[in-house]
Amino acid sequence: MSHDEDIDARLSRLAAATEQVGPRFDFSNRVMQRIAQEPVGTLYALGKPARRFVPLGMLAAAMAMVWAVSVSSQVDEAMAASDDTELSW
Amino acid sequence: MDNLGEAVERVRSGDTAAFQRIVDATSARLVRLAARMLGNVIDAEDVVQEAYVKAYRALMTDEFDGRANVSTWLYRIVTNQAIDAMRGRKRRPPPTDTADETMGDLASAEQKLALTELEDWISDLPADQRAALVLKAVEGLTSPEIAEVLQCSEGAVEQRLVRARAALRKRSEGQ
Repeated sequence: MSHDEDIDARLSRLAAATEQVGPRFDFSNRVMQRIAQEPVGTLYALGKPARRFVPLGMLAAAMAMVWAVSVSSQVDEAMAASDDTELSW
Repeated sequence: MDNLGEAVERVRSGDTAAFQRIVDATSARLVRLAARMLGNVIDAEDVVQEAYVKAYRALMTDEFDGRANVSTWLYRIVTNQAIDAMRGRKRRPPPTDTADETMGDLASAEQKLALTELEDWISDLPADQRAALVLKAVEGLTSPEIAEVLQCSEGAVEQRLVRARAALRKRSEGQ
């Protein structure tokens, strides 16, 4: 018998011997008690709908940026125009 | 084993109690998997419980996109948690008989011995090789299934298996 066959045979034996291993009594309830500590109704509930507005928020931020640049260049033009006026005056 | 889609949807809609159905349907297999990787049921339950918490959070935050089978997804979370536990922990001292009784451990003496033997035999392997070996030779998964669970290529799985077997062979030759 090769070493690989030894290894496979031993693994098979251990797999069979541990086939019935499972959680202890009440494990499911303990998990659910732990889950009950999670902030279900508050943070998750707020976070989920809030994330849906993220793309809208990003669009609004981009539009605000465009508007700010546009206003800024209008102000620059107005300032330049007033400089011209002042010079000619 | 995946009729859990409905339970997943109910959990997502805020019905926490529906998560119990997922736990009841999957915990036996997941604790057995973790116990085979970690060598005892107590550590396995800790790992699986944390895995369930992660899964629950993922469901509540829509991180689980539903493309993967729920069971496979849970298998993946538990395997990763077990790998982290293997890398991070010092080995738990074997419990005394009295402690076993107070903990209400249902594993038979034969099962505990088998878990300890498995743990002693493969504990020196790197965690990723150990996980691959347990998934393949003890859990009976195919290489593509293991690749999906470990999120690596089939080639990487085969490489880990070859290295794990070589290390075990080398050790047995040295004995």
